[in-house]
Amino acid sequence: MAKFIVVGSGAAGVAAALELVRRGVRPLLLDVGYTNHADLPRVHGNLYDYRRGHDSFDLHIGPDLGGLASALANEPGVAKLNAPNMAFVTRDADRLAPLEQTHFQAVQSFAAGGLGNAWGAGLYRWTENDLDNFPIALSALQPYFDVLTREVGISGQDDDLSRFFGDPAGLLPPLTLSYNARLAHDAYLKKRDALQRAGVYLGFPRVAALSRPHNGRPACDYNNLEFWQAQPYIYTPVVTLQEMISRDQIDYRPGMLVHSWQENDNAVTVQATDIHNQAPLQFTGSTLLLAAGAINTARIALQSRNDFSTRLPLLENPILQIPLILPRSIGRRLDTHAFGLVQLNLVWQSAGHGTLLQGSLIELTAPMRSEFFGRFPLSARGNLAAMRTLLPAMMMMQLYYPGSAQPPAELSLSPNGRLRIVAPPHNLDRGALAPLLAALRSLGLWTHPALIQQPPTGHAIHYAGTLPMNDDPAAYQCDPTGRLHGTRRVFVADSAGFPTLPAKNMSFGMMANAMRIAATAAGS
Amino acid sequence: MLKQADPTSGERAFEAQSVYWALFRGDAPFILIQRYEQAARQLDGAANPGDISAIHQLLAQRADLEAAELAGRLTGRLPLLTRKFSAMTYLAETLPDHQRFYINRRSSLAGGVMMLTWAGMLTAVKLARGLWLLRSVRRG
Ligand SMILES: Cc1cc2nc3c(=O)[nH]c(=O)nc-3n(C[C@H](O)[C@H](O)[C@H](O)COP(=O)(O)OP(=O)(O)OC[C@H]3O[C@@H](n4cnc5c(N)ncnc54)[C@H](O)[C@@H]3O)c2cc1C
Repeated sequence: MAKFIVVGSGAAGVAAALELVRRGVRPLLLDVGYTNHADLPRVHGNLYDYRRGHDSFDLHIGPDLGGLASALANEPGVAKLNAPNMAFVTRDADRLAPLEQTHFQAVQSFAAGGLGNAWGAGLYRWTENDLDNFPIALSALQPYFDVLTREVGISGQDDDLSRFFGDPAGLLPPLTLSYNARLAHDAYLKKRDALQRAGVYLGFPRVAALSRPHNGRPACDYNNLEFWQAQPYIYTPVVTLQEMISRDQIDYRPGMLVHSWQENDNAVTVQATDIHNQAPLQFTGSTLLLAAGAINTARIALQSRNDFSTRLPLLENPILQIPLILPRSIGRRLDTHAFGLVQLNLVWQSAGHGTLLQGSLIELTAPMRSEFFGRFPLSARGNLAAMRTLLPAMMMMQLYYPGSAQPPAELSLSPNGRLRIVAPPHNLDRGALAPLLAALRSLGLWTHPALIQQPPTGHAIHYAGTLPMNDDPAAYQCDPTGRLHGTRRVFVADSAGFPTLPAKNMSFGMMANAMRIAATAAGS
Repeated sequence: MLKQADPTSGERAFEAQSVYWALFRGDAPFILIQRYEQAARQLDGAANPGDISAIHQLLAQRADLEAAELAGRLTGRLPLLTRKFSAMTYLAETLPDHQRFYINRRSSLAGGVMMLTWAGMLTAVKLARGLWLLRSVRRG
């Protein structure tokens, strides 16, 4: 009998397993665990140099035209997930965990390392403010943030955002800014006092991309390939997973789709299917840690009780995508040697919203230029001209709202095995953005409200709150240690346990919390 | 000038040539035609027959597809044509000799402003023509 069973090898599962390993436990880790089998040549050097010398069809689109998925479906998609080298991240999700969705577009992963394979790697410590309504104190997470900062390697700087992004101890130096990001940052430093009076703070992100070699991994080479293939300088949960496997610290079993558990006085038994031959399998342990992602952890909980009537809440950060133009950069050559993900963060203490909102300013050098075809109200050749002359002068700001900015979606299990997710239609109030847009203009970043888009709910890919922690838990809630109500041996280690969702990329908080829960489970 | 495609290569090859011409003013490389045909098959498979027929008429008339696409996009009337343009744009971007259509390698503010001014003027002309063109196509 295994002592500890962990389900899922995403950011939460790997962090939980890491903590168990640190405590001398060798957990059994059950996972579907797809890996990248795309037989694609690896690009060395710079994306744009490569494209000048090679047909990049296989890199960008692939023989099944997967890279064109959003264009062919005319649906907003997540460009990075369409890349042939990223197809494994969402592989078979519709088949293994079918969904029926209304006003929600969930992304699910059954990959080793989960969604983290494709993440933007923004890993932000939480502060007391982020733990609003959590039944735990920040001090319970701090030691794990410290351990993870060392394990992961996070670039950033002690700057005006430290008050929102927590203790900067252990950060590696920040990555080099792109030309446009440098302009905006310089403008901020000149106008900082006025901007701060307006509640606007700008600074470096905390990003799990190495600015110098760390733990045997190389530093970022600024080659713009972040969307197209795994980069060794970007941390993903697979880094830690592979380390634990190679040191034989965990018993990793890929190919297992977990359905449910049953508990008795002495043990918990997990029912799973081997996805290769459909054989039913059982695993017995003394403690079960669920980390299948907030949606699939909830699915397993509902399936374990054959419950087709309960509706669970599902939180997500609503987002706005704000295209920004730097008029000074119009006609500039494309910055072909930039870090292609988040360059800067902005925090807005919005009086109108009564809360903090977080913006990620993203370079547009990594996606294909064609991603922007039709976004300019110009003819086809006018669009090509804009892609050439305007895109090098543009950045995109993804503005995150707290989960409480819209009513939660509802999640329930249908007898046909589908999970139903129903979100209320909801439009964020763009009128309230006026002070932020004025602040952005003073940084040289121009936009027009008509250009701002609200992607469908689900596109932040920060799912949480299906089995929330509570001091006094009811059915389908956890106590502050993560133990699921009505069970003795089942703990929720992922973001399913969050009672609220701050306006912040959530994964680092989730990883620290997963370690805390693993530590408590190991101690109990 | 746009050439009629080799009659053996079929309607989709002609469509590929026409869309390519509207975007790049030249003859489409063979590999691009092949890839476009695959994408167009998927698009047509899921499209509304009215849209397919409207595009056939535009092709048969040798109409200005750039104009029709723009008017369709701005009025929300012919999404299939925009998707076909979009697919061609993606596919062409993967070819080494097409990088110059997408990537600016020399900085020039004046050049950029002139290019955008040209794009604005072209758009005005194409929009007028496109709105007129869309009135003339039957969707059924
Ligand atoms: C493009 C993109 C950019 C992002 N950027 C950021 C960012 O910058 N910062 C940030 O904080 N977050 C970001 N995110 C979100 C982040 O990736 C996720 O929140 C996080 O990875 C979720 O981790 P998880 O462990 O909860 O679940 P997942 O990553 O979903 O992992 C679930 C794991 O459980 C396994 N599993 C699921 N169901 C079962 C089952 N029934 N049986 C067995 N195994 C199962 C899967 O195989 C997988 O290993 C981004 C996501 C994407 C896609």
